[in-house]
Amino acid sequence: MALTIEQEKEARQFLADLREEIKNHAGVGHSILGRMKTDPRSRFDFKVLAGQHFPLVGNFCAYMELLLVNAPDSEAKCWLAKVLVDEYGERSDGEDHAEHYKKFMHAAGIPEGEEDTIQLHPEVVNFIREHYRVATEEPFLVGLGALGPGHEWSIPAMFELAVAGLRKAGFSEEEIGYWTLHLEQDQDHGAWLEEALVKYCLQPEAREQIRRGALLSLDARERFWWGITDKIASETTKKNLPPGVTATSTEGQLTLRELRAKWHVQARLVE
Amino acid sequence: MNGIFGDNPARRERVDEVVEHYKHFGGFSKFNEITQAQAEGVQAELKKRGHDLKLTVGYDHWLPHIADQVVKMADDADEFVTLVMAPHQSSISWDAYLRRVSEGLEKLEADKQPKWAGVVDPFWNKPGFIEALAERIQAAADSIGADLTNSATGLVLSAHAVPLPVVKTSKYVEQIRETAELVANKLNAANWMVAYQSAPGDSKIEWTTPYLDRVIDELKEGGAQKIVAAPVGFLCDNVEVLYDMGVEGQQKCDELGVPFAAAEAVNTHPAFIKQLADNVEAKLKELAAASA
Repeated sequence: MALTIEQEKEARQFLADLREEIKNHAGVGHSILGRMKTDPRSRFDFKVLAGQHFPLVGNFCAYMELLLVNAPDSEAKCWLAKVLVDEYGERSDGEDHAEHYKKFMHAAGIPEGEEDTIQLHPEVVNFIREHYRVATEEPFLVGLGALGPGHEWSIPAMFELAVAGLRKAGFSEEEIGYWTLHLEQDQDHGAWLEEALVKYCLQPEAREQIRRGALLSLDARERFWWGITDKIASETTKKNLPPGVTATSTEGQLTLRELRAKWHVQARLVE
Repeated sequence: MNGIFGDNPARRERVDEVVEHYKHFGGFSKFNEITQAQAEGVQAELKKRGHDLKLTVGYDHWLPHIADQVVKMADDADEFVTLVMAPHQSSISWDAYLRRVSEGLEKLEADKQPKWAGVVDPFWNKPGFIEALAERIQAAADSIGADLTNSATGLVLSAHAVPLPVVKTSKYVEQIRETAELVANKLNAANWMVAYQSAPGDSKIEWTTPYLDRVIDELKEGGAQKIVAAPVGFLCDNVEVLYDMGVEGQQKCDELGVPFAAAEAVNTHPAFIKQLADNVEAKLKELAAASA
């Protein structure tokens, strides 16, 4: 269906407003990111961050695959598939993003084979849980809002700050390849997405669903960054000070390996 | 403000908002001045007790930084303890300072590592802290002729709000509650509530509640004719206390037509300073015994 000029103008204005809202969301503007540029940063900070962030990287494809199954038409499927092809490693030397991320984890000091044995902050688990929920239980456009604008329009802004901190902590460009790769690829994904989204933004209800999905994802992201802040402060405290002086407890926190054993994600026929 | 939010365009509006609060008080906070006075008070009190310690102040968000002070201290001290100037514990109110101590220790060469690196116990429920808070509150109540033992006076005991993801790993809320109960009991306060303040308005997630303005509403709706507010989660009259509680609390009560008084923070109250010295002294004894 061809759009009228007025419809296209309205849709693009909505998308421009949404980009602005995402850019200024506290999940994108979290102080831990802003302070990447202004505070001293150590490799240890990023070792902690890597252990908590890896589960997000490792689950992203699964949310996208689940959303793709529910996509209403080929155009939407195409956008999701194009992003997935990148995630599977098409433009990163054949390594999927999780494998690519592991290189960074090892450079940060997490030994090979121990990537999924780190106790996770509850907000890391909640972030993943929320995205599975949105991808499978909410209307398609809410899922698209979360995995599309909620991710692709926020990640370049967040990662730009993270990269500043990584460089300050002394990581080489090769070691932070995962992060810089996303600065480029997510710009592409964001641009593809904008084109794919225009046709879904014609009705106010549809626009509201896309916006709601984006904000659900970013709210979870803000909580996630607080979880990271919490973990970095407590793990650094424990590193060189006597036992028992930290204010925090890790009681009940699960590892990614334990979560995988407990969680079962299924796409199945319901009659 | 970059010390708190860093350099991030997404938070510009929030930074501008807080800058306006600072401008209200002439553009600066007395935080450093009061903290230095607290340190000098503790040092003098310890000296009276026979502990001739060198006491150095370091900050997380301002100069001199904590980690730098640790490195500097290692030049002429091989035993040290850290006193965290935060009454209640969470990763962002307690560990946030200790992580900087830890980073400072890491910068030291092996031969400069201290024999001790102890951390003084927290003091949210210690008698000297409670006594200092109670006296500040009583003085504020007296200034508007409010009888705290009468339910017609509402007492708000306020602490800094923290995001719920942080609450999940610590006892911050329980400790605030305990402080509030101890203070209220000491004053025989008839009508009191815990409140949280200073959460950034642009955050989209849940922070600890109820917020100060809602608590004032609730006390008024419940029949309070005078309201006294006290910063039980703060140790000095910083801009958050003076503005978010003092100015905005006053504005809120003016709208409601209720007389209002904000208590001074503990600052350099003698009972508080003595309590800090007690805690430092106890830790020194514990460490000396352990290393004997």
